[in-house]
Amino acid sequence: MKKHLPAVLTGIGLLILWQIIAMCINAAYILPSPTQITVKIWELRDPLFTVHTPATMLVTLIGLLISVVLGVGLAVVMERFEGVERALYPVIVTTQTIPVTAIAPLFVLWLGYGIWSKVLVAVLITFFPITISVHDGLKSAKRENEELLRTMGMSSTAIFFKLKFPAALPSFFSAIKMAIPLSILGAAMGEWLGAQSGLGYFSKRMMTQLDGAGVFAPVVVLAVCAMLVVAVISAIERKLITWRKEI
Amino acid sequence: MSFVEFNNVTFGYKEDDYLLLEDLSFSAERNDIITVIGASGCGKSTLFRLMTCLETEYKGSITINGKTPKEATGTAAFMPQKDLLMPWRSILKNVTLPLEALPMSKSVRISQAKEALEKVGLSGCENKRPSELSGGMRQRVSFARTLVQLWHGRELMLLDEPFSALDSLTRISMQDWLIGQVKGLNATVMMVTHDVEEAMLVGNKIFLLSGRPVKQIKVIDVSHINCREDLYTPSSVELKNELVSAFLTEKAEMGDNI
Ligand SMILES: Nc1ncnc2c1ncn2[C@@H]1O[C@H](COP(=O)(O)OP(=O)(O)OP(=O)(O)O)[C@@H](O)[C@H]1O
Ligand SMILES: [Mg+2]
Repeated sequence: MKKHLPAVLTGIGLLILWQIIAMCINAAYILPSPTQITVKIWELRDPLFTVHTPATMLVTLIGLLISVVLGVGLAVVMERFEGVERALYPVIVTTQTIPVTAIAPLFVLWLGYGIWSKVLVAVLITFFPITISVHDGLKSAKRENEELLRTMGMSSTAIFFKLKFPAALPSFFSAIKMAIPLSILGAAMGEWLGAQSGLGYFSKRMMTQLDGAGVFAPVVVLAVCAMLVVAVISAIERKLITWRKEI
Repeated sequence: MSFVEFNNVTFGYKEDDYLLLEDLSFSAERNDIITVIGASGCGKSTLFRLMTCLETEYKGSITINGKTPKEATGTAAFMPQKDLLMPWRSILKNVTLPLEALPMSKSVRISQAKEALEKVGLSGCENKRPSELSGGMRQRVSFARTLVQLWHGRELMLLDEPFSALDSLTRISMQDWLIGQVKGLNATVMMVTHDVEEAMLVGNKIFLLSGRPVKQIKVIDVSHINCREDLYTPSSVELKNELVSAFLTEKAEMGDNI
């Protein structure tokens, strides 16, 4: 706990600064103060926590799940078949430069205002980084290690599970931790474009009412959700990965 | 027929446009303990890669116990230069690793790995992680991992500079330790080293690789050198000087580009 103390103090300091500035400006529709936001969250607790947070988290988790399955699958295939790697890897890297944000409205056109247009945004934002990290992780297993296993008479499948898979685990976890906030972002962005529920939709509605604190409230809830999920994943990571990163 | 035979073997890596071995023939008898020396980059490790079937595009014939390297997969137990222990596995699990490629029960694997660790003086370290061990200890684990393979029909042990990463004092103690280990193995051993004294001490024969590409191997009998004191007899000192100067001449001939 002690090593987190400076960070916690900095955080508190920033909040106090924010509070002071907001009180000076004194216009909640431009910059609401942290206390106003807290009060707002409390006032809106019912719709926020029973309707909108579950809606957004559902999209986030479905998106993440699809990305992990597709991303890990593609990474494994690319690692296994060099031809696939050479055909796809450069394409994947290039598509990362496409601003998903800009083409997201298309998905609403195609898939409608339901949950799947949002899921698609979340998947597109997280799929590529997961694929690339896991692929790099699989590749990080050194050739000499692989050759040693080969001299032991191991099959390619055995080499994958005994060497490449564990070697890729640390990258897999960093990829997931990086993808969680991205996935939430994707979900919220999808909701912004049009939805009937969700925190993104909620903050947009508050904006049309010029309710500053109401815009911030769902943002704070999103951030807390992201931190909670990352904390859970980190705990699993610490349980599973007990070795120093050295391979 | 000798246990290991190279007949007119010619080999060069595809990536390189020069040959490493040209028309090379040599043989090793069963239960020989051979140390292999030669200038850096002359192809010592490559000999092992050919024997373990990691390189297959050679001309000529290689046989191990009468079989081609491909048929002989499972004949050679290879100990690489670096320990290559898996950081996510305990010491015990690192030693059971090669046994996992063989059909046997988990309990047998574990008991054999324990036995091997005991042989290398590391019982009690079973549940430690590689990162908790010193370089010398890790090298011994790596040796144990090679050793268990000899208990399952592998008759050839290939050691590629097993001690080159160690400091000189650890290395001296490991050499003395290895001599004891290797003598009772009942296996054919080939060990690459770049240390002339180590070559004389551990081996019964020295294979001296020279020339580029390597066309022949000079075999030097050193079976009379068995312990460190033997290194200081006049004839040993003379042999050592000869080997060292052979190295230096070669280096000069190569124009110092090695
Ligand atoms: N896997 C490989 N692929 C391509 N070239 C290689 C490979 N391994 C070695 N070589 C090249 O072949 C040559 C001989 O390498 P090798 O490892 O057999 O030498 P060595 O005698 O073991 O040297 P050292 O004493 O430095 O270990 C080197 O020039 C090296 O660059
Ligand atoms: Mg070498």
